[in-house]
Amino acid sequence: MTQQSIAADGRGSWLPTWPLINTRLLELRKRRTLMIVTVAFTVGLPVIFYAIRLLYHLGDPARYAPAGAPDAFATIGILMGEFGFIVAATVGATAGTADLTDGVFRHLVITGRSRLALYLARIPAGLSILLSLAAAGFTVTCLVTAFLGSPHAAAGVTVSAGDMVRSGLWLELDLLIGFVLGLGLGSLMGQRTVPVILLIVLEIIITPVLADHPLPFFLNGERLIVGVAMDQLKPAALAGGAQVGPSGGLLHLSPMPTWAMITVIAGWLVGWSAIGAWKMAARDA
Amino acid sequence: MTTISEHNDSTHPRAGQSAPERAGDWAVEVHGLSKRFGTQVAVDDVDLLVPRGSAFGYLGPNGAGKTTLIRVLLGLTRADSGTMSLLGVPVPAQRARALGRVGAIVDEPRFHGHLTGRENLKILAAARGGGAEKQIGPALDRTRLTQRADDKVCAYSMGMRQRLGLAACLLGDPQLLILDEPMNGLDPAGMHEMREMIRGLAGEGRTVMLSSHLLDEVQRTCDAVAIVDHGKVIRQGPIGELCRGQAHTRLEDWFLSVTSRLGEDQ
Repeated sequence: MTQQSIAADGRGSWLPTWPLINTRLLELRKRRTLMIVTVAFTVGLPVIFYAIRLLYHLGDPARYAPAGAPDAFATIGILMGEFGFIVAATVGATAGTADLTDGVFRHLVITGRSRLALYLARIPAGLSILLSLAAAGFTVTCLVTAFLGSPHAAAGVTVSAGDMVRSGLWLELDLLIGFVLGLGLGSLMGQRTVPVILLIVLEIIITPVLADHPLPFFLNGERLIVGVAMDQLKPAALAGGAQVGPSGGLLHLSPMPTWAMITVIAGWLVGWSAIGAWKMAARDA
Repeated sequence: MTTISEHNDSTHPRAGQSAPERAGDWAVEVHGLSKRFGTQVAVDDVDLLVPRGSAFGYLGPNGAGKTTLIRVLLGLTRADSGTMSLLGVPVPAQRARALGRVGAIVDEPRFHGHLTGRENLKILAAARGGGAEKQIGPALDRTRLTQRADDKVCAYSMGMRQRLGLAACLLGDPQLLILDEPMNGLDPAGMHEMREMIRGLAGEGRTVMLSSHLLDEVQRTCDAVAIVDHGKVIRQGPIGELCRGQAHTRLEDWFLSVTSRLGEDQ
């Protein structure tokens, strides 16, 4: 190989190449257990949920609303958000640690490829799996809501096409955050289990507790938690017929301005990406 | 080839040697390299010159600092001081360019167990770029893994993993191969096979730097050696030169006499 061709192949560039992203995708999607769990919680969850709702409705239509009723849309949306975040964090932490734990990281470094490019290649690879599966699962939700639902008679609530789009985008953002946090924390810690546990604790314990019990003298610091910002950004349709605040959040906090929500979310995404990339670049291979 | 004689009784590897014929004659050039882990000195002011086109043995007992030096050379960890170049390209300043022509096995070769051998090579070829993917087939052929290339690596024996490691080294058509204990865990037949492959690669004009504590294997495989102990290179030169005038004709006996003498001095 000539020196010119070495310089031209861009191995030192921080931008990941398409073949690099594609092989990261291969490495992730061939993890059978991880993929089964991911499919189960993104596509399987709404399918099973609606199947049960449908059976209940068929069994006793007077007592149980149609499967596609707005309250079902809200319930499955929230469930997909919670479980999706945890699955996304697991996929992210796996993507961030697989090379290290399998002992392949040093082989990759020896190729001369930029460590930053190796890190960044995992983001589109992991997201392409997660976001496409979540979209498939949410499509099931939208189809059932559109064709097997009816307006909630008591509250007069319907789920419009706009609500579906907003809810779908919110769900995808929730998974994106889970993935990036898992990736960054996994890369920082060099192992998968602890980051996933920490993110589960953040998602299902710390966020609701801090939101429901604001700490005295904390200067509303709980609003800096990404889960709180995401809750405030949650579309009203995901609250079903429940009473929600102006921002649609279910947690008991006064509303945040939109710019504040976006800043908090962007801060977490950029911050954890930077931490993960820094550790990847600085780590002994 | 530049020689370094033991007869001058200097422990400095460059003492007594003639100057290189021209800049870039060395595949590996290291000057004053040191690496510490806390208070532990792993590599201590090492000078090392590996001539191009040679099969060069890097010998030392376990814990002597062999792997650390290789890890520093390959950019897997940082040096505390010193200068280095690979194939005339300074590292770490131009690491990406230098490593484009280098293949290496460091420690035990490990891969993604849930992927096949071919898929693992695809990942490494994608990282290497520059058309390395076209070399997957020839590399598998050369290491006699073609028949098992589509089996998952978790089903591979240690010898097959070592061969897959060597196949990974060959992806970039390297001019320099740095192999750290490539014969670890191999049975006699596997060692013979690996030795033949290494000799074959050296015979094509590639430089092979072979780190090992298996002295017989090094003597059968290499033209020249450097001996490292307690982080320092204590001798280096062609095997014939080093053993000449000594009571020992076997590298192992000579190595033991040198390292035990050093131990007594210390």
